[in-house]
Amino acid sequence: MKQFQCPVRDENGMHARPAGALSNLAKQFSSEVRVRCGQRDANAKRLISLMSLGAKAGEVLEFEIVGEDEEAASDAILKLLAQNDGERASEGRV
Amino acid sequence: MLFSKKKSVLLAVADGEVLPLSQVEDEAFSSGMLGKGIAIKPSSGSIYSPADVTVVGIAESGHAYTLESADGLELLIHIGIDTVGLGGKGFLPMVGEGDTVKAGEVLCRVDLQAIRDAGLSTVIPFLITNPEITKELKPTQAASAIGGQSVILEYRL
Repeated sequence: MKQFQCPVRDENGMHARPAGALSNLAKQFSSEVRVRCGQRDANAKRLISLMSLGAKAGEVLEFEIVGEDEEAASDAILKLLAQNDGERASEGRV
Repeated sequence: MLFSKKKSVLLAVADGEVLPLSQVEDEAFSSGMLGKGIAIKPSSGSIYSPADVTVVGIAESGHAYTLESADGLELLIHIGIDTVGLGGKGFLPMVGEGDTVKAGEVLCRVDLQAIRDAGLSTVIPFLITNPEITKELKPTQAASAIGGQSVILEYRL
């Protein structure tokens, strides 16, 4: 199991575009990817689940990744989340 | 046929002009990255449920609704483009998260003029965000639709 935390960088929070970028990436892995934000919990492979987290800018997302490719999934998601603030959201910034 | 499931339908989420998703002026929608679907350029400000659904989530700013249909489709109604930045101004949700809603019931009332006044597009992308569960997904050929009444997408699971 891989676990890590990351704040939401997009100033508008986890809205459609960043949630889409994250769910599309998570779907490429067989591992289960769960995300918690406050009291809510989401399956990162489901766009509507991620959006329903209602995560706002600066709030902390807690990831838990379990499965055969958890290492690769974790690396890829961290890379997406780390894309710097200067990049446009449409390029996948979360 | 014994094993062929009958076609199911999704209703227009608003009155207005029907557009292919590819004409939406936002690549996140037009590229298909967020899912498959269709768009409506609304002529009035009532947003209707496209099917019998459960409301999964409502954006805090009231501009986006995520729904799950009884047969497992995951749906996103995004009212206007870049409207997340309006911070809720002009959006009045009529349902709450977790509510079960019938096809054609009103989800939200929108002040379209408030969106226009902010210099933003009122176009509503309507997406199936898990299109991989459908075997067939056919948009309407009609140029206009009546919210909560006209069929805008037919699908088969």
